[in-house]
Amino acid sequence: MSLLEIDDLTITLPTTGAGRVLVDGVSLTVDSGQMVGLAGESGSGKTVTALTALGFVPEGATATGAVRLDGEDLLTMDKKRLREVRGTTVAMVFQDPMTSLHPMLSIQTQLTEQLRVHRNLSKRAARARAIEMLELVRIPNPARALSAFPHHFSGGMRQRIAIASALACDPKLLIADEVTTALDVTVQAGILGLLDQLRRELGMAVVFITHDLGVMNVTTDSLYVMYSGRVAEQGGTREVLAAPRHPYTRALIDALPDARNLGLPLVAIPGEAATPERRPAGCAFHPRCAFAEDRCRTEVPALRDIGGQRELACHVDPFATVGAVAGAAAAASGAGTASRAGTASRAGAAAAASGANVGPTDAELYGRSSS
Amino acid sequence: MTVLDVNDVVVDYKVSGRPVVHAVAGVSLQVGAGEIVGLVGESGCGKSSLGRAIVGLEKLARGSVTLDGHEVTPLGRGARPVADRGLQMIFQDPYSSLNPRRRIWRQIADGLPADASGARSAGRRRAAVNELLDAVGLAASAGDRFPHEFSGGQRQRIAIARALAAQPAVIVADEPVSALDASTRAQVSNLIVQIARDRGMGVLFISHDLSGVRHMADRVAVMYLGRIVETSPTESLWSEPLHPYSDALVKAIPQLGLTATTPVAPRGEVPDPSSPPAGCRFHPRCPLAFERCLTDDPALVTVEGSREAACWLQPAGGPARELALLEA
Repeated sequence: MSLLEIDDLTITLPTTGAGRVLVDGVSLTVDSGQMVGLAGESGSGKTVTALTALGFVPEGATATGAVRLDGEDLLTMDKKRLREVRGTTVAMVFQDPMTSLHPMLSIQTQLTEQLRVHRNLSKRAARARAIEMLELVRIPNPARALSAFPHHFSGGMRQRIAIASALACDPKLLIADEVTTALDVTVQAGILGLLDQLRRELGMAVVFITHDLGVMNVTTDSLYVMYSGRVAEQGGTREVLAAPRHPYTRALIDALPDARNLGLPLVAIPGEAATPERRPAGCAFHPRCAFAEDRCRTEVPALRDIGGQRELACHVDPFATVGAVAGAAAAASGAGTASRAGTASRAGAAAAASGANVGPTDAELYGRSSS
Repeated sequence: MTVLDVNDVVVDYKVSGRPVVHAVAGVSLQVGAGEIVGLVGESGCGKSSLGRAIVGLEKLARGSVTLDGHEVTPLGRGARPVADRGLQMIFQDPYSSLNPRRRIWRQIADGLPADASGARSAGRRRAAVNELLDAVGLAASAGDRFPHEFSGGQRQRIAIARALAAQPAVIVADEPVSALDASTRAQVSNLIVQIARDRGMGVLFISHDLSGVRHMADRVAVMYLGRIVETSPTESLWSEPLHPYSDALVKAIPQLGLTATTPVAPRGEVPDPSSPPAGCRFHPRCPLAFERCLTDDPALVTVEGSREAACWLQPAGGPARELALLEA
């Protein structure tokens, strides 16, 4: 049995007409000590999905399926038990530590409250545990930090305090939602190292949400790429990012500035991201996809096993020959280096970019990977 | 050819009862025509203060900013002198930099020189606005709409069009793509590069997103605690950083690829800018620091022709470096 099992989860907001589907048939498992990533643009449903692991469903929405944490279904759990589970079995860290920490309460108050409530610790014992947690996240001089307030700390230190607070009751699962997005790369590196250490030392599992694929690549073991409330593809993080099979994953990677495409204009994904209000029929990605065929416009592709412990939801599967793709990518990176050599070619690249104003053509978008 | 020349600029923030903070502590920087210069560093290093000081939004405590050989005056209550209008700024948040209650075309038209089109007629101005909208990839009909009708990426295009209206020689762009989704970020980044090339316009691109800067900039200046510690052509900075801080920044970027590892964080925290460390400001965090770094503040010196670094270990192979390596 996995620590977290989300099984065919669907979350619908009732509105006049069809209702808005926020999450559509998502299944996901997280084992102890595992770091699982959720990637996708804003509106893809990654945060809504992760929040169900804390038993949170958006106000007024209906959820079907099951979210089992340690064997117990959070969707049917009574409120009292949910309060116990939150903080003790599962905890969450948010993007902005300035909003998750109370600005007018001391760090001690914020770190010990849950220990007093959930663990029934005495004031003294709770304080000792809080100091231990601050040491764990490497806050210098923890005893003094306890009497300080959030504004006394830098952004990176605040985020570490927020993590200490989440970890105080020894959760088995941590939900980390864009926890490093607001931080500098140097501070981010520290937080990522810390999370990795905690899961190795404490065996804690982490659901890691970020749109930064570089961060995803170096931190998580497995990856779910989501689009418009559905899983587009799933598998080992490095395998998926090194040889993506879904055109959406491919497009996300191509939009990133990277050593491979220096001196070339960045390739934006054409069109607008699908939203719950306006979700295209069939494969929700089809209006932005260069490979869309007729059935993509009508039939929702099912998530199917493609071997190598990977799953894909795409009718076309244009990158099926993984080896060929890797070869083409290597060739493209060679070409990129060459074109970087002179400013003249840089200007040429910029001129090419002018044509990309209205969105690149299919050839431009996929030329590098399918040629 | 240098268009923007920033010379020994100091920006101070004074709060009564507290020590003066030198947010920018003596920075010199040049931007050439058609050149994109990246300015990177951690939050609090003074990069935004420098950007604001360059366009006149902050008072200079010392130093000067010249545009085309003419000194830029700080913005006061009155209208900006015509000669200074060649310097424009784009801000991070496209939701707060546009007036929500005015139509797009009027906001862009504000920046048009009154006499450039020969007349002030609304028709001519509207035509000029349409050209600008076209240049940033928006339809002319967008001019009749209000900011709330646009997405973040489109608003940032509008902000760029408005900056272009004044026919600037240099644009200071402070985190212009940081608030945008990855895909929109790619479009706006491409647009900025293309405009710089097409119009021969200099861009000072301020960002904490090092990968984005690497992609766009010709040259990169690295800032730490109010000082520039290295200026290098972009690729040299990445392949062979001269300053240990640049090296730490580059190594902290998480990479794609099968062999990428969890990045390494430099030790310690950024010190309080109101009481910077003595000697080299980076020495408490520097893995290569030796005696001299604790007491003497290294100046930015030219290394290998087109590069500059403020580190006692430069030039490489000098006696200081051998000594430090012995100690390390």
